[in-house]
Amino acid sequence: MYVYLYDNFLKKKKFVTTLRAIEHKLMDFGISGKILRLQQFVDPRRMIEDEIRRGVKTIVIVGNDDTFAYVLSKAATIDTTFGFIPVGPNNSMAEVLGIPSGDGACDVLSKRRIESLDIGTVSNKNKYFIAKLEIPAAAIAVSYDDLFTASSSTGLAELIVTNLIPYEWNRRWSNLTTVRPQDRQLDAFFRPLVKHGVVRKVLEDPSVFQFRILEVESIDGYPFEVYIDGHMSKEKHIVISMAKERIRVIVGRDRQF
Amino acid sequence: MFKKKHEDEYLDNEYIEEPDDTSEQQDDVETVVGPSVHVEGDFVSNGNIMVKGSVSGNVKTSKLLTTEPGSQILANVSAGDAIIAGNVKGNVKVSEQLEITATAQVLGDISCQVLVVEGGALIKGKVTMKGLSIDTPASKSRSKKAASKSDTSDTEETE
Repeated sequence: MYVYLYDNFLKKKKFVTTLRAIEHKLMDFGISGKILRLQQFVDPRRMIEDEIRRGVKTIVIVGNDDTFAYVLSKAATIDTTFGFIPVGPNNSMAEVLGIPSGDGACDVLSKRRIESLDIGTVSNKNKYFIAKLEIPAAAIAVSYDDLFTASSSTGLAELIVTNLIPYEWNRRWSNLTTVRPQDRQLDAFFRPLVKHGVVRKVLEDPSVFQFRILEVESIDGYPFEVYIDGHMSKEKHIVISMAKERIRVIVGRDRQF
Repeated sequence: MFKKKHEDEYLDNEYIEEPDDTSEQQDDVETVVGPSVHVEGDFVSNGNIMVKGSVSGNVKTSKLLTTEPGSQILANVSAGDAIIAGNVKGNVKVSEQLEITATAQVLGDISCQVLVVEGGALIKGKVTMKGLSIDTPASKSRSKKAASKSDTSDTEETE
């Protein structure tokens, strides 16, 4: 049994045709199911748990990168299989997973090629992230796997930890990293702030480290901003680690890992 | 109808692929220490390492270590292959090829199998190259007699 979680933005008129094509194809494959719409004040975790209690085996997220990251970061601890139908722009995670946009994703869904993927977790805050964790330029020291620490000689540095999306740090040269969600490690990109102008700040090309456990601590004692899949909080100390094979996702043949 | 049956079949027996061989992926993994980054502690990686900044602590990898001009490593280095273009204050142990470029300064003992030194490089320390055996006529006759007893391995040391 399948349940489809539609993002709220899919209510827009321009997506009507795409959604109709998707629903027809799902019906052809015999995998159509109940449609639920994600609302602003409704916890997707509760919605999913309720459906699983009713016997649902597969939760399919319909939307973009933000929808996929939002639902999975809330429901990562639920033991079920997740599918994804990317619709509209901002779908780099779908590319990584080898899922074509629109009704093409129904073919992938019907084949049920399932992979267990590692995801990132902020273990001391009990939060999960699917796409990336970002700390804008701040006075931070970063300790990797209790082996070594990295700090910026300029004082401030930005930190990005990616999971299921490639990190692009220079659009001009399109430096894209590869995504490896099954290598039991996360990638951290540490970028010292080399110039802080009035209009824009200049960051150095990233230092790249792979890790299992990473500790970030404020050097000056002030809290720094942390964006966990886009949601901001202020922290003085966080521990980022990898949750091994935490989620089961239906992936395509053309996946990038 | 056919598709429905097909889908049910998968539902009962979910198709979980065997994990791919990740050894090729591991080769591409590169750890980079940027020019404004200071690393303190033992720096161990399974993939290639590129150092552009400074490292105070042992650096260890089974793959390629590259240091750029202006970089600094203040501890022992152990790598599969290495290209040194910065400063190293510590022993350098490389299991295959070590290349020391013109901008490099190495203060410490070097151990490797193949050594390439560019003109202008500054080195102070003992150089030990493993796997080298030079057979002279005298040693050949001696080695024939001793062959039944044991094998010997020679090392050449220069300073």
